[in-house]
This record gives sequence, structure tokens and C-alpha cells, in this order.
Amino acid sequence: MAVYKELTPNDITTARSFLNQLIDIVQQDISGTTTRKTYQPFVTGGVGPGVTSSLFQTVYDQDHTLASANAVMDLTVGLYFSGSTVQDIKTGEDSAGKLLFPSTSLMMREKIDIYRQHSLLLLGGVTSQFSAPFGSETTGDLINEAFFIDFKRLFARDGIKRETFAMKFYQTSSNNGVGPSSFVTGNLDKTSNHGSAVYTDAGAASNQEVSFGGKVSNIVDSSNTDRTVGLLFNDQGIVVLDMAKIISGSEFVSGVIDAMSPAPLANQNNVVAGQTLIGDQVAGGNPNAKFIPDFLTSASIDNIVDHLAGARFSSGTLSSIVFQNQTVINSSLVFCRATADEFNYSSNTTFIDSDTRIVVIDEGLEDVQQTFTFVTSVGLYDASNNLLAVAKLSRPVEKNPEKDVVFRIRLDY
Amino acid sequence: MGFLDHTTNNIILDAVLTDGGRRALSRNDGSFSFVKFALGDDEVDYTTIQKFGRVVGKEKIEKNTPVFEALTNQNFGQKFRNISVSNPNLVRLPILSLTGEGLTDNIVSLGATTTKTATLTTTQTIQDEDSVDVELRDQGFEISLNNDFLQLQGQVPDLIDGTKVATYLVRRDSIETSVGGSRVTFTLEVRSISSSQFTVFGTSSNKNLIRTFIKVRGVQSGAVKEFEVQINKNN
Repeated sequence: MAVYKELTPNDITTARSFLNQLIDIVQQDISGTTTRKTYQPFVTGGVGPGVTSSLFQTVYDQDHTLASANAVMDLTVGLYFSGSTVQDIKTGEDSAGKLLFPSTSLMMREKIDIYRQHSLLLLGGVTSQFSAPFGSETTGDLINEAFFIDFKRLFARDGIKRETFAMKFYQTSSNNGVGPSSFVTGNLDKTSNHGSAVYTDAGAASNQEVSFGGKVSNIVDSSNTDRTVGLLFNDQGIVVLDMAKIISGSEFVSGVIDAMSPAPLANQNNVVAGQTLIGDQVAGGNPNAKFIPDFLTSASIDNIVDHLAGARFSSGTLSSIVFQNQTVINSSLVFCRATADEFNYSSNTTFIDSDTRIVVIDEGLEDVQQTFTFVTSVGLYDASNNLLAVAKLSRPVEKNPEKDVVFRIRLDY
Repeated sequence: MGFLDHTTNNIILDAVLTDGGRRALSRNDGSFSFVKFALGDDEVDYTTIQKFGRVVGKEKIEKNTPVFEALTNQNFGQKFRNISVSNPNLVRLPILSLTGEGLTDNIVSLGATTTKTATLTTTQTIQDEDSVDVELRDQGFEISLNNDFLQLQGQVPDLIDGTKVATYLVRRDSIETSVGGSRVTFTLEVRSISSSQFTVFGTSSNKNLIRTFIKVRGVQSGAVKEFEVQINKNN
């Protein structure tokens, strides 16, 4: 055939390569209320106006109401069923196996379910418990209260490259003040400004472990790499942090949280029905409330994520989380060989003049000059002459009867 | 835009899938298979050789011809293809010429009511030669047209792509020209076109007139003949 040349199986081969992208998530994207999207799948009934909450919140790279915003990651928290935070507050279990909790707690079953969901995906069973370092059975290493960061596929791609992850996090809350005036504002919604730490997966490249959820790396405190604070599941793009290690859990907590309360709190104008004060010293609350366990059991998931995202990542324009993702590129290599006697004429309308004479051969020199063409594109066709792929050269390449040319077409998937 | 890799003797460039390629992939029936390739030279103006001579002309084409990025529309991905002919001493190549009903200045006039058909003939012609090279005699022709407005009478399209361009593969006539050139005769037929289609697709100066374009390509020679068809609502 004069226009097409058949390809043989030997002309087509495959190759595999990797592409890394640096992902940089700034503090204000995590802390901002417009860049963080909440949902309302959890709704209580009964007492008061009820409580609505997300099961997770999504961080976007700009105002999430804009069509051009990209979802970066989901944030949520989970509690381990057998951990002390759950066991110490649990009041019982009904005949169907449903756990029972006092009305002062909120979303306990949902927090446990979030943990179980991640355990099933990453550890292979709903009752499995995360531990940092990975696989440790030491009691102090077991994660009872987990902070989950689930990166979206758009940013995690085919996985997070080992030893590229780092995040800056504030371990200490902003305000430890006591007294009625501090209860309303509290330390829940104030940005932390001291006690920062950098958590990283340093050492992950030389200690490559694998779990049911694929590759897993330990996340350590960069100032003391012997202190492991969480896990990074590289293939899944999920970070599991031990809240008992990344925040000062015994710190006093105060502020407004959602609650099953039918009426505004006495003497506290800002606390309306459906809310309550944690760390309350006036209205008969718990004056010694701590982040762990009190805040984690009393607050909704929205309250907890609002605090972690809004206060613990700071709110500036600095990098808060960075990592490199990895994209696997599978390529087809097609070798298109034009031998010396092929493709030396053209159907280009400028190749012949109005008398159908080939213009690249000078008149009178037909006996010494031969035709030539230039190639700017290579088209790949199926058996029915449908153009499936097209490749362009960066500049025209001459083809003449003395030249054998091989075009290597790389098609990435 | 692809780039040459100077580290090997091969020329390396990246390819993009066309819309047809993506469609074949999505079918998942094995139809996505590279069976053959063709080379193209859409950007090259060979009259540069005439103007500057073979040495300087070649250099100007190589260095002064920017190449467009690859198009993903399979109808425009490769307009002009290079041709393989075993005879390296050809001086002339055949072209496609068009004759037939309603044809004036390469424009075919049709109507939506009475003159709905026109029989046209595309012929391989060559000047000052005794015969068309055997390898360049087309045994079939690809005819591409807008499937919304036109069809080939008595023919079934081989492909209708996502942009509503229908491609017919038509066998050549049994009769050939005195120099051995092929010809193909086909009848264009206007489809039923509504008034609202004329309102939308009619020219801005005359909403009773739709302009559309047809491409005829010789399968062996690669030669292309493009012409315009004007469809008048009132004829």
C-alpha cells in the first residue's frame, strides 16, 4: 500500500516509568473555613434542636464553592473500640451488639466505625489496632485515638513516595486560661502559636514495610526520630496519627461544642440550645476537662476536626504538609521504520505544481535529481484506517531514497 | 509537541490518542490495535524548494517550519500523507479532479426540496504522462462528509465519528481513464433538513443556505480533493 505501512508485532513494545510531583499544602487551606467543606450526614433527634455533623471534612485548595477548586484531602478522627477512651465511658451493649454511651458523649459509635473502616482497609480486619511504630505490640505504641488524613487521588496519584512526607503541627493549644470569660472563646477555636513539631517519614526508605493496605512508613518527630507518632500508608495515601502523641492530651480544654442540650446555657449568652461548654467551671460542668479523653468523647467529629484543622496547623501562608506523589506511566513504544524506498513522495498539494509536476525536482535535472519529502507527523492506524494516535515532530525531518529513518513513538497511559 | 532525542539515532516523539483512539479503547473489544502507520507533512510548503533551490530550500524547511501540536480530532490529525512508490524517478504525480452535476468553481449547489441529488465523478488525472504509475492507481476512495446534511445515495457509511462526520469507503469504477487513472462516481443526496437547522447552521448572511465540505481521498495515492457543497433551503 502506498500510503500506509503495516506494523509487525516486533515493532511494538511496552515500557514503564515513574513521575513524581511535589505536593505542597499551605496552612490557610487547612485552617480556613471556606476551603474546608463540611457535610451533614449525622443528625441527632430528641433533645433540643439536635446536632448535625460531618463524618469527615474535605480540604480544598481554594474556596470549595468555586467550580475550579480541587479537593486535596479528607480529615476525620476515630477511636479504637477496646481503647481506654471508649471503654471508660461505655455504659453497656444491647442484645444486638450496639454499644451504649451516656448522653454527655457524642458520635461515639461513628468515631469507632471510622477507626474500624480504616483498620479494615489498611490492616486487614475491623478489630485490628494501629500502632506506631508499625507492628509494635507495646501498650504505649498502640493507637487508641487516631487522626486520619486521607489524601485525594488527584494529589496522591498512584501513591506517596517514601521519605518525602512532612507536616508541621502544633502540639500545644493556644490558651490554657481559666475563668468564665475564657470558657466561651476557650482554646478550641484559637490558633496555636507555640509547641510546633515537624512530623516526617524520615527513615522510611531504609525500612520498607508492607501491610494489608500496601506500603507503610512510620511517621516520626523530626526532633527526635525515636519518637514515632503515626503511620503513612503510601499506596493508599492515608496518614494515621496517634492523637495521644501529636497533641498534649492532658491539656485543659475549654470552648463551645455541640451537644444534646434543649436550652441556652445559663449565664453564657453565646451558648445556645444545641450547644454546651466544655471545661465549664460555672454551670456545673467538668472544670478539669482534657483534650483526651473529654474532648474526644464529648465533641462531634466536626468539633474535633474544626479544632485540629483550624487551630493546630496554624493559619499562615507557609507550607503545612508536603510530600511527593508517584504516578506510574505505562508506555507503548511503536517503532515506525521508513526504509529507503518508502514515503519519498507526498500528497501535499504544494508537492506538485498546476501541471502535476513534482516541484522538488528541478526541470532539466530529472535524470540526476531524486524526489524527497519532509516528515512532520506520524499517524498510527487500525485495520480500518481509523487514526488512533498521532505524533508530531518538533521540526521537519527529510526523507529521501538514500535515507532509512526510524520514528520511535511513545504513547503514555 | 514532540522533541528529537539527540542521544540516539532514532527520532523520539510523543503521541496523543485521537478521539477515535479513545473511543476504540473504551469499546474494550480489541479494536484498539495499531496495525499500520503513515507519515504526514501537513506543515511543509514545498514551493520553498522552487523559490530558493534544493540546498537553501531544504534548510529553510527544516529550520523555519514550525510544526503544529498534534490534533486529537482524527479527521484533521493527518491531512497530507507521504506516499511510497518503488519507482524513485517519478516526475509527475496524479491528482484528483472533480466533474458532475451542479458544479461551478469547485462548489456543488444542491437544494433541500427539489434538487436534492447530484452525481459527481472524481478522476485521477496526470499531465504529460502516458500512464499513471501502477502503484498510484486508486482501487478505492474514502469520502468524508457531514452526516447531518448529506449522504451518499445507496451507500452505508463505514464510520460516523463523534463530530458527525461520516466516512464512506467506495470502490473505484470499473472504467479507467486513457492513462490508467481510476475514477469513482457517487451520488450526493441531501438529507431532510429542518427549518431550525437552517436557522442554526445557515450562513450569517443567508439563513437559507448551509455550506458544508466534502473530502475525497484516494486510498493508494493518498491524493486529496476537497470541495464545498452549498445547500439552498428553497431549491
